[in-house]
Amino acid sequence: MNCESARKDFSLYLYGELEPGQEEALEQHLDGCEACRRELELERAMHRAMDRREHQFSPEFQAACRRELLSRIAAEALPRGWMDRAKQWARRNVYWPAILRPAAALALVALGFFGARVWEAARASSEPASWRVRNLAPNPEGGVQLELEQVRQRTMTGRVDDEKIRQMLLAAAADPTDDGLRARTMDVLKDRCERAEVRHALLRAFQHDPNPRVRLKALEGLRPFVRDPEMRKALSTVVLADDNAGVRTQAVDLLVENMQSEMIGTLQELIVRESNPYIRQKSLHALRQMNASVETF
Amino acid sequence: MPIPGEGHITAAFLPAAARIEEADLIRAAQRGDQGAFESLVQAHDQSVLRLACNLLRSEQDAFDIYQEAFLRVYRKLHLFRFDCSFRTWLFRIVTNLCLDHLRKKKVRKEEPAAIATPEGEVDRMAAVAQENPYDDPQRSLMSGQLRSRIERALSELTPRERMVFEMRHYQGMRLRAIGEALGATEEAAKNCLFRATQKMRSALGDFL
Repeated sequence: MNCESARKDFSLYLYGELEPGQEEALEQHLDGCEACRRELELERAMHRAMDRREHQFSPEFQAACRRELLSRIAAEALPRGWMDRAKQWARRNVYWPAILRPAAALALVALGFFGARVWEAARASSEPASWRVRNLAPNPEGGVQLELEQVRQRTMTGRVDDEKIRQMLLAAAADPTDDGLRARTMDVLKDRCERAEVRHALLRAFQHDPNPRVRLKALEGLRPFVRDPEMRKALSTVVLADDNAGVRTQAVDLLVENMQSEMIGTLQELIVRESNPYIRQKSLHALRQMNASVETF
Repeated sequence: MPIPGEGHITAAFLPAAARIEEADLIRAAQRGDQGAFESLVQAHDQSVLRLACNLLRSEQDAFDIYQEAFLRVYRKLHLFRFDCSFRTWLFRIVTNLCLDHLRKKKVRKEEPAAIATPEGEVDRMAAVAQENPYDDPQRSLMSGQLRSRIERALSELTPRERMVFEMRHYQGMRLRAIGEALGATEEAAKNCLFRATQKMRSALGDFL
């Protein structure tokens, strides 16, 4: 070891970040080099100076931070209505073209208004069904005639291939209010992906569902369609953008098992962005197998 | 000064039993247990405040980062899947917020860290800290000039170099964990630390 390489290792040495072999080599060099020992002392002096710079905050400041945080969390934890949750889900997951945004907002407001009336009416009543007054007219006896709209729960049984049942399932797959329902729906629909409408519903869920369990179930159903261009596009989006490492891992595994040259750019970008070591390693390995560069230019 | 191989005790060095206990706390918090969430905050908030205060040199900014970081943890905890330690995950959030803040600060060219006083330039935080009854008396012995030189040298580092230096020097985090928190490799964190200490050494040369 020469002086230049020894000095390069000083900061790692002082932070205890050298491998045992490197540390031993450095100490051997220091034993025989007065100049490097002096240099190391200067580096230590800098560490000491930096230690004294550390800001000490008071316990009161820390307590004030905690108090404020708890009050903000308490405000967030207040129960929110299903409309708020639906709006939040729609904001996060549905792309509205700019021209349709005012109409979509109006539709949500209207939905909220009428939905609330139905809901309130149902709550006010002791009847199991929810209902609302749709129209009214005075009658000749001085009374009033009400036209009611009722919503009743009912049971429906049938095969998944039945058109009516399938449409109901597709609606349940997009129900923003119930994560568990959407996950169970994915379980039922995942074997019916040969139908384009089902496949599209699963592709949508795989890319946009807020719940990772639902996204993983959608991916299960989509596996046989890995060579489909839409599926490859979805995989590419998910490996780069999904915030759940489990989902990204499953997606990258599928992508790599069925590697095609057009996915090289995605994997190169993934190496730059990805923090999960398994996913990075998997991408590196796939790129090397394809003799592709591991860097983006 | 840390001895080689030692540093501040971090979650990464916690005994296995303590880590299991933390995993239980995280799972309970994920199920909506408010008390468990508060315990997680209490276990880690001092490190978060220390990092934010050191980096941003403003208690008000550190307060804002603290609130935003833990609110994000609260909102996203259900997405935490134990792929890394909770501390690394939390620090990823904090470092991203601090890096954004530092970058914006650079663009806005906010107040300098050092302010002019009749005794010469003094670090803005030190000026506040002098009135602080909990302040370490040793700190008052430190030369105001050296302090402002250190601040100036730190402000010359890139936000990323500064972040790596703060996390290694003051938080005692291993370079591997720093890399994970910043979405980079251990090697990249190592290079960043090397550049940062080189710049600091040449800026402080005649004071050492």
